[in-house]
Amino acid sequence: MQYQRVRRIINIDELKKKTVTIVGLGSLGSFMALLLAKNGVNLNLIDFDRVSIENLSSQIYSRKDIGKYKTKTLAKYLKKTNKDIKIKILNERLNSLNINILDSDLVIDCTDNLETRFLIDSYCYKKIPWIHTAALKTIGLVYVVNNSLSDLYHKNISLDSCDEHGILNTTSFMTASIAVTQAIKILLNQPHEKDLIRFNIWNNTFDKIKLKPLRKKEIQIIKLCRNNYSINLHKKLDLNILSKKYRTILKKDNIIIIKPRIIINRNGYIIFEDTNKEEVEKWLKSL
Amino acid sequence: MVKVFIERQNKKMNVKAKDIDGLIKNLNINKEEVIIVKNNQLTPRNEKLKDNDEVKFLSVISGG
Repeated sequence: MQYQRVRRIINIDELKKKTVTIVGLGSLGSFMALLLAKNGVNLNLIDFDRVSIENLSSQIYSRKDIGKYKTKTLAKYLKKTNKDIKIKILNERLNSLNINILDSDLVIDCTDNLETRFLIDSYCYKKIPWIHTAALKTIGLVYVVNNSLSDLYHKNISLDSCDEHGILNTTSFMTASIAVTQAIKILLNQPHEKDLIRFNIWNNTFDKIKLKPLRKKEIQIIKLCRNNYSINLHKKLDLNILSKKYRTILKKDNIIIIKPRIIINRNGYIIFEDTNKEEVEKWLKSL
Repeated sequence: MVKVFIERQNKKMNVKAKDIDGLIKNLNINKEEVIIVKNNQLTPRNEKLKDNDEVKFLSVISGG
């Protein structure tokens, strides 16, 4: 009975078989989780943070939740909303060692930093569909990543922080609604939006921006936060050979992690953690 | 003339320009803080421009 009306619009039975991973449970992730839960979708919820008083105006949490983990608080709330869904939580910052929690039908990036976004990109590249979302003040952005995030952020960029500027809660709702609509389409194998969607809810402007994969298969070293770097070699790599050649910390079917912390995706996508450009170049020559 | 919108300043203008790089220099835009869109398509900085092109300098946003 719970889904009686929405059944006329979407295939709820199919959605109930799906799991979505949401990385970041702030102003975007918390509302996306609610919308997906109400449509019967199972969830993996990831966030290391606890609820603070500054979160109350733009996130789903209440005053009584202050000091509690966002994951646990949200999971409890969602279970009250829909007791039938399965929820898995991870109270940690997403990193190269716990990254296999992303194994699901779809990943939605609701983080606030480029470093985690590229980590998601490196794991999901040509494996798991994922949606990049971001918001600031009255601007929201939703992009179903077609190829790689480096098609959008392929040069050194500096990013505004939501901590400094905040997000109007109407922006969060709209971004969450657009992203979850695209998520439902992907989960149901329906055609989804290919362009990047970007709106300003204050000015009522709405842009659809076309992105093409980089024209030349350039090998660009992209600087991320905290001395991390990303690179796409645009070729398949043999992880069995590499895991024998380098000291390997973790081996999965699509990635290996080697020392010093380098995450290698079999499709040629590599993340270097805590290093410098010269070291990256040196390592690439040794490959 | 090229139609230009700079989101950070909420400013629209018509200017003469041959390429995006020239626009960035003349309008004193910090290229590390924007994504550049020409005629609704993400555009590299070395892209040539012609009359009536629409160029938007949109702020990079990261909050979540």
